[in-house]
Amino acid sequence: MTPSVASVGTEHDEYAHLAPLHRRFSELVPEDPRRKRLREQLISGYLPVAEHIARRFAGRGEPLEDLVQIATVGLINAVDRFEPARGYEFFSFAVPTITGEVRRYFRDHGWSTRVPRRLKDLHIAIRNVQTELSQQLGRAPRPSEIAGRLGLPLSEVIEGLQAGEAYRSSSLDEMLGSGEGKATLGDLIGGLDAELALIDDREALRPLLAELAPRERTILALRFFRHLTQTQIAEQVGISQMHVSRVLRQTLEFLHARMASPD
Amino acid sequence: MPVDSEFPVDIIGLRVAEHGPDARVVTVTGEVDSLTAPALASVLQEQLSAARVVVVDLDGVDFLGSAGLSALFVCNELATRERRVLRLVCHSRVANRAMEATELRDQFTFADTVTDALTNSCDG
Amino acid sequence: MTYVDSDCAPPGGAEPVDPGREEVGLFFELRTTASTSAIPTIRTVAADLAARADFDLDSIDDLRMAVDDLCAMLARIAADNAMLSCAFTIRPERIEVAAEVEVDDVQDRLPTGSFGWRVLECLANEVSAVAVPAEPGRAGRVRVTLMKDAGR
Repeated sequence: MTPSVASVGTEHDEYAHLAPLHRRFSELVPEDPRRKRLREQLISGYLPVAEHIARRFAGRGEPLEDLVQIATVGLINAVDRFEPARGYEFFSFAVPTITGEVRRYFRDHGWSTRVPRRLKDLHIAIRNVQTELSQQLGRAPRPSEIAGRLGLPLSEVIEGLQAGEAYRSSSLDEMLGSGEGKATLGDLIGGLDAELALIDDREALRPLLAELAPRERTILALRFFRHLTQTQIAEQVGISQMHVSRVLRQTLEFLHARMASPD
Repeated sequence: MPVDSEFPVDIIGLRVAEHGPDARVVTVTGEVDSLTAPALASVLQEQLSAARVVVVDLDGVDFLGSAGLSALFVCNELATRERRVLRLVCHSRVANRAMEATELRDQFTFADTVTDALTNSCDG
Repeated sequence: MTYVDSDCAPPGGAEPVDPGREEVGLFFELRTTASTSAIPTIRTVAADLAARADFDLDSIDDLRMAVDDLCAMLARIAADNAMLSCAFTIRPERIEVAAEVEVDDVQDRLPTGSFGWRVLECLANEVSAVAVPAEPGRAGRVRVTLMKDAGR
């Protein structure tokens, strides 16, 4: 956490001068010309926050300026919808609103560049061949038929089939992240950077989980979602505790390495 | 004005866009299952009570389970009863498969694009 | 969650060389608390198994939906804190799913009249439900079994 981040419950010093403006903004009727000026003042004042958040999502194939624009849309929404009378601080409302806007943008645009190029290409190739084969066969193709057409091993086709699905909706990472994902507004007050790191990691983890073998994923889920001990996992999966330990260590090393240097 | 569901965006996304006073486009993304279908149903019901034409864009749907089908079906019945127009736009393979396999496809009215859905609905 | 290796698993069963071969002819069972939050994982596993068993893409989707439906149905009628078990048997060209949950009262618990059940009948090649009455020391259960073929 950087020194500029204030402790829980206080606004960031550099934005302290903006805090009183919210109340005045919310008290003015929409037609009041002063309201428009205050709104612009608030938006430009908080712009560095939007930029900061946008930068956290940079390097995933979307141009930074686009991300800043999206984050600014989120900021404007936050300024407009913020109700100071409810006793929250602006940051606790704005950060989730802005990050939500950026994440929605990523979701609506499908792939994140954290999905390895190879898997992305594979997924697209499969989709193209799938349409073609469906027409020829008069039914949906099988993975083996797709593999035959593409001249690829079956295992790669299965991986490619899972890739699209896993990026959008890996239920496993949803489960892994479910503790944090259900954070309330109050929970999110705990520091700007901590919150961002959390979102960042979960976003990054998602496509990586797709690369794991099913058993590795299961073991990971049992350990970190179900909070089972290694011995309990060993019992459930039917392998030795040492094997569980090795799989966990290798899987985590793999995830750390991949998150540190995408692709 | 975007309206978000209370669910994390990862699981289901529900966005409502106004097209004039009389039409709404609800864009659904993610997974519509027993956990998330109630959110879809309530958004659709709300929009059907507010606008004459509601277009549901299902292109970004990754999973459509029976609870989701049921939500769409119930809202479709509601639309018919209340003389509203509910149109689906759906190029999602899994969603189309769900409607085909369950033989529910004929129950709904489809349009090829959101623009088509809005244009045809306004004419008719 | 529990995996039980079948006779087709490699000797020792611990470290299969080829994950694809490991799951052909495999019987394995997932056990979890009967809550809706576990269902996405179970249906993902189902689709995974179907893809590895070379089901055609529609049949993979069908099985994913059927398993979702089945588990949602059972989670709804489950007793408090009950466990949901979902077992897959992968045979040549077909997967059998047997899911089971403990219920408070077996009477009137069969979900065969619901919309979900109709969907299940459309998606699976065969589906049936049985009520297993309570015995001393064991609660009553509802078990649903379905079969799904690999394709047309």
